[in-house]
Amino acid sequence: MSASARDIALGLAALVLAGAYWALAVDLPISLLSDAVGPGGVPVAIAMLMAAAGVVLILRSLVGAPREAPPSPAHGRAAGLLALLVAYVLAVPFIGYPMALGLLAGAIALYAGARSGLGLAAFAIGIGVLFWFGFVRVMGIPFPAGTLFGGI
Amino acid sequence: MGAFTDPWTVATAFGGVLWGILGGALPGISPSIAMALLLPFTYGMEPIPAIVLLASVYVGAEYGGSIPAILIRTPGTNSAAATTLDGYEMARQGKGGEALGISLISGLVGGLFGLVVLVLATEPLARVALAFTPAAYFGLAVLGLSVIASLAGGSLTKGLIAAALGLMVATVGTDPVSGVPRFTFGSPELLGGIRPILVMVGLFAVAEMLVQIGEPEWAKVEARDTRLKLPSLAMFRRLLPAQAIGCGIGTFEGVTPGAGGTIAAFMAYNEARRWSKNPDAFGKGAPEGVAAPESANNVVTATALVPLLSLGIPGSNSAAILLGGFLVHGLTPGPLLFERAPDVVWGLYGGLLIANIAMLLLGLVILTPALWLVNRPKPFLVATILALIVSGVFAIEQSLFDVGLVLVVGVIGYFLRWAGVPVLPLVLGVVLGFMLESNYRRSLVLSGGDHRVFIEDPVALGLLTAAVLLTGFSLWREFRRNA
Repeated sequence: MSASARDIALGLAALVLAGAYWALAVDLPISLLSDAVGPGGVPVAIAMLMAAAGVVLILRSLVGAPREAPPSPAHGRAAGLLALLVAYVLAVPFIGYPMALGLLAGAIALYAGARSGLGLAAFAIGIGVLFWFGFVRVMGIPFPAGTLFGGI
Repeated sequence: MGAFTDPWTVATAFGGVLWGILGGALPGISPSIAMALLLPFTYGMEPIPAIVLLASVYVGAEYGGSIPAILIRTPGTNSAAATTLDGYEMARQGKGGEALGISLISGLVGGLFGLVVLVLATEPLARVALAFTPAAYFGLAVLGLSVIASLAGGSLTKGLIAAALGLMVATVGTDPVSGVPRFTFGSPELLGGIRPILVMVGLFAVAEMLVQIGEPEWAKVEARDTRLKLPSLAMFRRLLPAQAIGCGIGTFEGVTPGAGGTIAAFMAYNEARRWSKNPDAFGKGAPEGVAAPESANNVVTATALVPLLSLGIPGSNSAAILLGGFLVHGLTPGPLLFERAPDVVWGLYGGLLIANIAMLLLGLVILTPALWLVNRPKPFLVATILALIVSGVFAIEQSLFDVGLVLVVGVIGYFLRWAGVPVLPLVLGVVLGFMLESNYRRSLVLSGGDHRVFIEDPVALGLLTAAVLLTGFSLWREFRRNA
């Protein structure tokens, strides 16, 4: 994707976001305690600023000379990592913090190119135990113990 | 200067510098990311050690960044890029240890000089700002946002989009005047708003890891050249002019929001070469080519805090994270900070002094562990950093919702990078949004809805005029560049 195409995509996203935000802002209820500007006054101005910047960006990209885009990050790899992180958030309440974190660390290391084997398993277990000890035992943070193991 | 007598503050300064050197030595971990990773852990700390910890990370990271810059021509931080020019050449000539010693001593000179400037410049500036009315505060917030013009990295339009997005985030929660819930979508977790700390960790740390997962393995350092050698007295005298240039430029660039250590380092390098009796030696292993940028980027670690502490405006990513540290403890940087929490300000000054001493002491012994860390396989480092992020964010409020929110912000940060949008304006929008809206509306309440209050107040008028001029100049510059 060229730099201009990226800018157009960004401009369109800005317009959509500005529109949705504006619609929510004008719908805000007015309280009896409210001032003349109201809770939606400043948000409407922000939406207008965002929309104006989006329009300028699109117009400039359409009339300007095409530019080469900088190298793009690997979206597929990033999506995979994000999926692992989301899975962790969903799994913590069920399997508990130490196990979920160990599994997350092992899975990320494997996904990032580490070789599977005893070393990776030891790393995953080590992270789970070390972080559990530091956060739960030392700092006293009540991380979920996991409903699977009778915790909350 | 109670910081010196409080063992906990001294320990956090040393710990912060240690963390900063190790983080800075890792390519891909910028000072702001190293700071963002620690931000959640400052919640349970007293304000002074917490702020000192974060500031010390910044100090340590500037030296840490020069280690791979000198040894493997890969700057650990952006501001160490200029150091590669002569530092790596020195390493190739078998003088890597000497280059590291020059970097360490020049960094110390820069850090101490910057601290003196910080102490002398901040309070007078803050005293002026004490006389501000709500209209003037509104003008100050607008001026702070107009800094976007210089932060936008070539596109004011994209900077505006990022700032508007930040302002949108700042409006989530309850309305500051009427208490009406806004943009919460019925979620009780959003009633209190989105904490800037979550935005910072997501934008800086999570987004970086999403990018790093697709990047190749970092270069490894060979075991040779790992013995640090401090410069002799004769060499120190020889380096003084280059260090003085670095200190001068670092001061100017540091107090200018948006300029930062990278520009300061390159400018200092160029000026040191221009004023050198032997400019041809630059690029071929000139010690002055290491001393000038390293003193410049370390001056910036202190002088970048001048606009933050006096006016509440963060001029760099690292200053924004430090601002997050203040906000975590219910402290708002700006003129009132000197009245309400002078102990924190002086604690920070003392902590920065300790941090610079710690940098020297740890710099002498940390090289081998730092190189060991840089040589660890990247997959394990990435996994450990992400484990730290998800654990640290949960620890703030014991909320998985917050962890999810940080991931969402991380994805937004990732796409903003892809689209070439600078993220600092977004952070500015988040941290200045409340100040902007509440003072705007308070001014109108006091003036009975009359907008002339912003023109009749001379300070507000001056600040707003400066904001318009700054933005207009940037627009004109951008228009000329694109024409």
